[in-house]
Amino acid sequence: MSDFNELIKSAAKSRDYIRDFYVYGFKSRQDFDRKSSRTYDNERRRIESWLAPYIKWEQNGTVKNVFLAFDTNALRQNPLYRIFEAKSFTDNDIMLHFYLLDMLFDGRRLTADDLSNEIAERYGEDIDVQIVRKKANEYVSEGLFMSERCGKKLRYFLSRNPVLSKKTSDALKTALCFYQTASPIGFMGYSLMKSENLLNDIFVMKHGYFVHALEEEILLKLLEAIKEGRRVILKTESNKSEAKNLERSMDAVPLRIYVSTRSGRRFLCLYVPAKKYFFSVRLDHIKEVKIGEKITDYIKYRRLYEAGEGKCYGVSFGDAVHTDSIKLTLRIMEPEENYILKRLETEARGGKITRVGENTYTYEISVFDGNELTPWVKTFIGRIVSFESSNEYLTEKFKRDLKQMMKMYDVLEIDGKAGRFELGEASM
Amino acid sequence: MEFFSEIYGCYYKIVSEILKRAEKEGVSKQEIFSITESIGFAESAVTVPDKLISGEWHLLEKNEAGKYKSVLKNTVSQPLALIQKRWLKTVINDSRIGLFMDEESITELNNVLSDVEPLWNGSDFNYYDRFGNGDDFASEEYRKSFRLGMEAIRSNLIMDFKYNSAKGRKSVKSCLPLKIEYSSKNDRFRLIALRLPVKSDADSKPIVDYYRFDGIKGASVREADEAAAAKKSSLGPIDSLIRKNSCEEPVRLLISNRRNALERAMLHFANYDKDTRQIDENTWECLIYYDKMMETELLIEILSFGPVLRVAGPDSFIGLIRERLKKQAEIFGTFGAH
Repeated sequence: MSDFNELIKSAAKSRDYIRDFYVYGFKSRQDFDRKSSRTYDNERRRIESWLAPYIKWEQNGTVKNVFLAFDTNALRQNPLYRIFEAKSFTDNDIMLHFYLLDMLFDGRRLTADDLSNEIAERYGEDIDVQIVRKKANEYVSEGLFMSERCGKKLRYFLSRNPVLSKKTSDALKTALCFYQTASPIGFMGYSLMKSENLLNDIFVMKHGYFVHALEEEILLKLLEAIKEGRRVILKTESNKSEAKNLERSMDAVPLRIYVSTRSGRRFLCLYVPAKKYFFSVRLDHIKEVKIGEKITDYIKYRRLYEAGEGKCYGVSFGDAVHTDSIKLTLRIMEPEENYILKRLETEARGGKITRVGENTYTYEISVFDGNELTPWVKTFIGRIVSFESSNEYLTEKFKRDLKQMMKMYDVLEIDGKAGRFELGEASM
Repeated sequence: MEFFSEIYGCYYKIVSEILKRAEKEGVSKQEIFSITESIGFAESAVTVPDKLISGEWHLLEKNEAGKYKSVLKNTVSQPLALIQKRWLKTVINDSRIGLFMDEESITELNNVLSDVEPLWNGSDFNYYDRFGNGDDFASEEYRKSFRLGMEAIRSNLIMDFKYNSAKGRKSVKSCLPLKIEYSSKNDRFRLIALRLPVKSDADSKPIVDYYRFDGIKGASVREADEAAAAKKSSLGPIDSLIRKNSCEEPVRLLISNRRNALERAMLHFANYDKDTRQIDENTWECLIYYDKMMETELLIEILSFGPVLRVAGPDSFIGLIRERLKKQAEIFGTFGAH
């Protein structure tokens, strides 16, 4: 492993490995079938180097499983941001970085020729003027430098940082402690905190999906395309076992980012003009984004989508024509279980709640894809009087699942009263 | 506008810190190693000091005293990048920003960032399954309580307030704030605090309470008495104290890889501390370490998966699942007969 380097050119490959280490957490060397064992060893060593405090391993027979473990509820910052601090660079890159900042200090404005000459004088280094110019232009596009035309040449100078009152500066520092983990593209907050040597001494996250950090580079490109109303060409790969490693390419109109705060999944809702349908793709399935041309009638697609959005329970548009009607009847004992009613109201997502009798309530909704509703319905197990749907498949699947769960936990067999009852007879 | 760039990188940060320390008298070789180890990755010390000392990165020069001095003439700092400014502009338009600063500061920030565009607009995101009863971040009372909570944490102050619990109970509380917790699912902040009065004996276990900010009324802060201050300083790291509520025995889940359950469960429970291993061709065991306070939440999350997840322990947790299923069977028995 003589060629081992902690730094990397692209985060794409490491992103996938970290996801497997962190999200799955049980894979051994043999399970990483994407690349060679040597690649796995290098990736593992890098991840161990970046995230040393969070690495655990377990010996399972002769197989060693290495995994990342952390409780997001108790962390001050997102450890996975470390990956984005590992971009590789050349010797010239790092020297130029500090030389240029030094030479342009105090408002000096210099051309690439001036800079190149001064590098030789001040630091005794001979760096070609073309390389200096390239770096200076790169820093102009990153916003670190600004440039102005001086005859035929460009003069470069440092961008000025915003000057803030102490009150605002202090408040902003505290806000950074929160937003670095709570906001999308939080790595930017993290990087600001690092440059100011700030520590988050106040905030912790409950229900924080830190794994989202791995998608941020992809997300940023999608947000840029949405903001500018541009097409995107996506390369996607499903994590589903049956479609694993199957890459697809998609030319689409990006519309909105959907975030599930409960399942940890984030999606891009998009329109596929070639097939004339709306679709959602998980951000962690998107491997590459290319931003295409501006769409002249972008607003039309956005409005079309917003018109149908109300019929989406989650992220699925189904065929965007037919809807599944669902009626859930629940037993909620009044008044001691009013907190359940409150929960129902809080989580209703536009569904209609009606008190139909003593201790009995119905919840009714009509959505493109009723299948998205069934996990939530199951959270009311213990109170469900009936589950009805215009889609017979859903009711049958629900019955089957419930019956299987009762068998799984010996409820049908051991309880006399329940044991006599056949699920199919229930008013479902 | 690159997201993944060396300008936010760990090595640039290490070198920047070393150069700052190397301005006047210079730094020793040992200090170079020590700074690298404290900021860098686990193996950075193999590369960075050698590059600097050998002159491959010609940024330091050895002086007569044997120390390494910066070749730079000035104390440099990296200006904010465009993407960082755009992110800040986005954040100051967020609905929660009023908790951290007043209108005057928000206007000040908007003015200094007037030439940059936010990275996104609020309507570009839809948190589609977020609970519908999130906190009212615009409430003056809420903002006041929040700011007092932050002040109390940083200055070790006691916070007194009237509290309306979620179940409608009213009480008067005094506590020593430790942290503020945010839940994206609930879009809600809670104050994590040490219960007062604390017992004076050193061995007594501290009690940590959670208060919803929207239930806190008429808050004020005051200096902590000696016993409370001593207790807080004896607690050790607050993060580990919060974790002490974790159940001794984790929930043991058996996951059958049907309906993509393994992948769904792994992501769904990614916000818990967990260990997973494959136990046969189609079954995985996942141990979830959870906070006792979140037991009901975890229970219904597991129920939502249906029969593709099975709780195999501990018995107390299996009991909770069976209790719900028995109730369900009873309801079907009763209603089904009609």
